[in-house]
Amino acid sequence: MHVAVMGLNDGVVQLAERDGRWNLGEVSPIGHVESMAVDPANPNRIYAGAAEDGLWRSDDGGATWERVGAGITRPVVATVAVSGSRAGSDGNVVYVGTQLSAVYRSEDGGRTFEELRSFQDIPSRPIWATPPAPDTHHVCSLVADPPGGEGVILVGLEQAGVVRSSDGGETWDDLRPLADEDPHSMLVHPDAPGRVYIAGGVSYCESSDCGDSWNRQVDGFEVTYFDRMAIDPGDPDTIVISAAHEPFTGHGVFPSSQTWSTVYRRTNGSGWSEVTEGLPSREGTAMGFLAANAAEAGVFYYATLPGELYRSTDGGGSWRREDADAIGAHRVTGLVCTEI
Amino acid sequence: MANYEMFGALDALEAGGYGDRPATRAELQGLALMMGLAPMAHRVHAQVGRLKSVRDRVLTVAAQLDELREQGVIDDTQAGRFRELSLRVRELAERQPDPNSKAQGAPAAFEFLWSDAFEDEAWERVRREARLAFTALRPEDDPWLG
Repeated sequence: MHVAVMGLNDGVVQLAERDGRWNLGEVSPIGHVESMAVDPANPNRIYAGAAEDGLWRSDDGGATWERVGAGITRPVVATVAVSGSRAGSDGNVVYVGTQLSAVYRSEDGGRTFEELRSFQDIPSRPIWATPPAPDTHHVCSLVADPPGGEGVILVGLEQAGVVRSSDGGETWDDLRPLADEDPHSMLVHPDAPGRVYIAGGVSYCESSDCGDSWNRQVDGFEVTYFDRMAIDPGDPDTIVISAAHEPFTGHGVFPSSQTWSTVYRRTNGSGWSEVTEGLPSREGTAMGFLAANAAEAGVFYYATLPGELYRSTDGGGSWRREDADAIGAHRVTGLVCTEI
Repeated sequence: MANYEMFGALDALEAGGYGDRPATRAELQGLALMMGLAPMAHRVHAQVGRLKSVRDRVLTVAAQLDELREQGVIDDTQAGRFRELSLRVRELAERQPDPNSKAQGAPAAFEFLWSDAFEDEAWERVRREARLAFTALRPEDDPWLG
């Protein structure tokens, strides 16, 4: 059964697909969800980072949740990620990034964490900041053990850049040149060894050497602000990305001004181009959340902030709004899709 | 993006301005946010014509700070921090009457975004003060994840 799990401003909720209809479960009030991740070794297991309300885990595809995360000593869980290949004692190894920036690792399915303390000694740390607050910075994206790079950890820092460890977090290379300095989303694909993708606040960029070096791609884009991204599980060259001219209208934070966002797509052999067929109007729509289900090649999902669910079955070329229960007054803050 | 109260307070400014309407704490926080953004963000806001209206509103509400403090809308520290910000902004305004004009006539949107506009010392002073003001005005329970 296909499942879409929406992070919300005040919890998390599962939508389960039956006979072409998406049925809404009960909202689990775990707090403001900032980040979610599916364990690639167990599609029933999902983690949700709920800002000041800590880390949560579901073992039934997002229907029910339990608080985990003992040992995370910073107060705000900003990012959660699961190793692509490294197994722990209970599922794959889990990483959490926090505000203020710190990285924690769990070998036991998120129950207990240990901090990667050498992360605090990275030389550029004094200049990390999430403007305009001078006293905060946080981890906004994280990739661990990418294909072809066991032991590599890439940490995206909001409005700072990307730092890299090649030895499992023992030592760190400082900010990687040309990696986006605002790396909102960082992903890898199991069939693309060495390749890392970033949708950032300044650019879209890729690495072909597990994040050591980066190149920025601008051809085809008419915007420079990118937020969420998904890669076709069946094709590492097919990518969709949410985009806007700038964050304020892109996130729709000024209700009376023109909210505007769009979606770009790239396939093997073609450059970036805008996709509109079947998606909500660019005008009036804030950047939504893109996701792929590892069990569905060629399929992408897109959730708007009010909770409308869209699905593409042709690798993002065209979309259709799904028949799904409404989420009511909640606001979507994240999306993962899995198979249970 | 966190803190919808703050963005909501900025919304009327975006919609056409407050005139002399008294500011709220959330609006002051939002104005500090806007002035404390990174240079590329300021270039974006100049491109879309927003930077001058934000800058002008900072100067307008600076005259309200004593009254807002007396009314308990903001405390002494918050008023002091915003006043410092407004002084740096005024210095900048005297030198650069319309920051939006920097974006006008730029050969291409992309080229302007990747330029070094708004990266001089005066703008850095503004950003430093704005970030301190933002922190002073931020509610204690707002984690600010950006």
